[in-house]
Amino acid sequence: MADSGSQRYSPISLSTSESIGVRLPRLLADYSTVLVVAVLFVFFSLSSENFFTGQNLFNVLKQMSIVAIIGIGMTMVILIGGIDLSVGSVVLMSGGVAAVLIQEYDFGPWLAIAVGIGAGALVGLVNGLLIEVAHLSPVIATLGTLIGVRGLGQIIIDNTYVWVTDGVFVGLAANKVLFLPMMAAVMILLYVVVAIVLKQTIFGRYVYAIGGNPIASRLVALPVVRTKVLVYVLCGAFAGVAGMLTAATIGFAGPNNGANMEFSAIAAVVLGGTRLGGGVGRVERTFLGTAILTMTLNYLTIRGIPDIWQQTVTGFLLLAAVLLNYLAQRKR
Amino acid sequence: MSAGNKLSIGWRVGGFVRENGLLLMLLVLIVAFNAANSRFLTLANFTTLLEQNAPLLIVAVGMTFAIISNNIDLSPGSLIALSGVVVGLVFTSTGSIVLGIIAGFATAIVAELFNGFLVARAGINPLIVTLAAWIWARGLAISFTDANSIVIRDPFVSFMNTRFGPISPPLVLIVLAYLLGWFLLNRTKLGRYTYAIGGDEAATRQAGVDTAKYKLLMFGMMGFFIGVAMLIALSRLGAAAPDAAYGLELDAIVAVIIGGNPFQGGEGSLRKTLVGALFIAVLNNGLSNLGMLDAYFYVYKGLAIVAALLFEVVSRRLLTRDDTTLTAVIVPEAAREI
Repeated sequence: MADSGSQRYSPISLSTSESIGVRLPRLLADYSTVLVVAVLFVFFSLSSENFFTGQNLFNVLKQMSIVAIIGIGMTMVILIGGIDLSVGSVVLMSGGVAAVLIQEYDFGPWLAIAVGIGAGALVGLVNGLLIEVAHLSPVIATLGTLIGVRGLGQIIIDNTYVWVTDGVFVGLAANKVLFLPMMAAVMILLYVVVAIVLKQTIFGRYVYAIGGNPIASRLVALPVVRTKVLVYVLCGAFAGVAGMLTAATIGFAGPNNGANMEFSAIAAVVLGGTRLGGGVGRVERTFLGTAILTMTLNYLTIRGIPDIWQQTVTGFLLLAAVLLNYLAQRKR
Repeated sequence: MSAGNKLSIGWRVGGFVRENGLLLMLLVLIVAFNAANSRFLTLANFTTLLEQNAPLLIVAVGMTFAIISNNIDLSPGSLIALSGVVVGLVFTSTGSIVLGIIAGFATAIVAELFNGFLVARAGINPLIVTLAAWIWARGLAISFTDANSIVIRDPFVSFMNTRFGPISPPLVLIVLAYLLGWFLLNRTKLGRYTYAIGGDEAATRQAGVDTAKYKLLMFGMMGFFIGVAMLIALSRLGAAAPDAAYGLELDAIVAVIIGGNPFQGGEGSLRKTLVGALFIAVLNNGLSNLGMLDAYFYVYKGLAIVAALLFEVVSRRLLTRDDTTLTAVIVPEAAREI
């Protein structure tokens, strides 16, 4: 696999007692994603009068929120050296659970939403146990749940479209909080909370420590298995939240909800500069990665590029990000 | 793991089950499907089963090399679609199927060499490189065709679909692919170094092997197998479809792994891959013969995969107390170096 020699020991930016010579290059690297977002934003704003309008910016925030929320869990999973391919299927299944509970079993919307998110967390638990207790490799274990959970979700919705008419549920997508679309508000809230948790809590320190050096973490008796399983559970729960928002946005739980979303989320995490293999990365940067992806696609749509080019553009964006990252690392 | 003379009979039986566990499960699966549907175990259905799954079986050969060398390739499904679309476009504009096929093979091989270059020379994680290709190659296939299929009417297509008794060209191609793969893996430098790179890449490089060159070769070879798989997928459909071979790469990875090749590389064989791929093929064909809804099909497939994997891991741990799976994170090489 990738020759990780020089980057492997990149320390987690914990200490404050580093010399400026150490900090400056890291600051530049840290802000390179911000820089890319800023440059793209200015360029898009200047070259199209329809990009920098309040309405469109809210649209971008709304469009990015689903992948961005999955990206939170995916970032944590990648930080501990794993990966989760099942999130797209969880989006389908959790949305399906909530929709069926509301439409066919007359559950209250909030209870249905809670159960739906819980179902996502449950898939995360299964992933965590398969990987950490049964010792399957993350790619393979979550590939199994990708296939199985997609089928389960389609069975739950009886392989058809379950339209949700409940006002509260649909309101998740349509309503506004203060001036922000509700989805965007949820996204921002979750990012702030998780960023603080990863930075300030013991759990957050464990996540970085385990990802940075799993063997040493085990030797110093960190709760490696418990932390990793919890991270998979959280990833499932975040995918569950995204499942609610997906169903609320399009108004139904359908057999293709969430298809390929795992790959968009991984692309966003990688665009944000989090390293596959664990230990290095930040959840805020996944937000920026998603922003790059969504802004570009939004801009292309505004400029009248047909939708059929979207996937091609996404692929080459990811490729460009990977190459830039490589070139930047080689210079240092 | 060799069964030495001093091993007790229990260990030997256990060893046999561990080595051939999936083969036993495959036989059980075949018997079960035959009980459910008496037309399952016929020569004609077996030919159909192999033809349907020929692209999977062939891509699994290349995937075995990738996984033994501790790499991974997510791009085959998308590249089958893209190279097929190129065949369709060239055929439509020139009317020559030969030119089309050459262009299609060139597309697949060049794209894989590009992946290989990024992995081998630039040292970028193969999961990201081939994930990007998974996205852009499928994207190009859709963009080039406006998301429509290109119908290909040519004697070549009808030849590929002809049956000579139970034999048909896709079956011959499967056999040739496995023979070629076996030869390359066991009788050439490429094969030796594939194992060596998977076992310990740094040591292999220090021993003077140009590991980057062999990784590049390996990706190029995957491109060739993708081309062959594409020909079969294209002929069976009679058209170049931008959504062809969707999800094939995942099936191929699963086939290699449930066959018993360890995900962290360094060891493995094509025989194991063949059993794993046949298991998936029988599952695909058997479940759809039962007229099963796609949804249930996914559930059973997911369960079967997880069951086969757990069996593999449990038997490995019970019989060998082998702890390698503990370090099977997605960059196992880095973990081992620590």
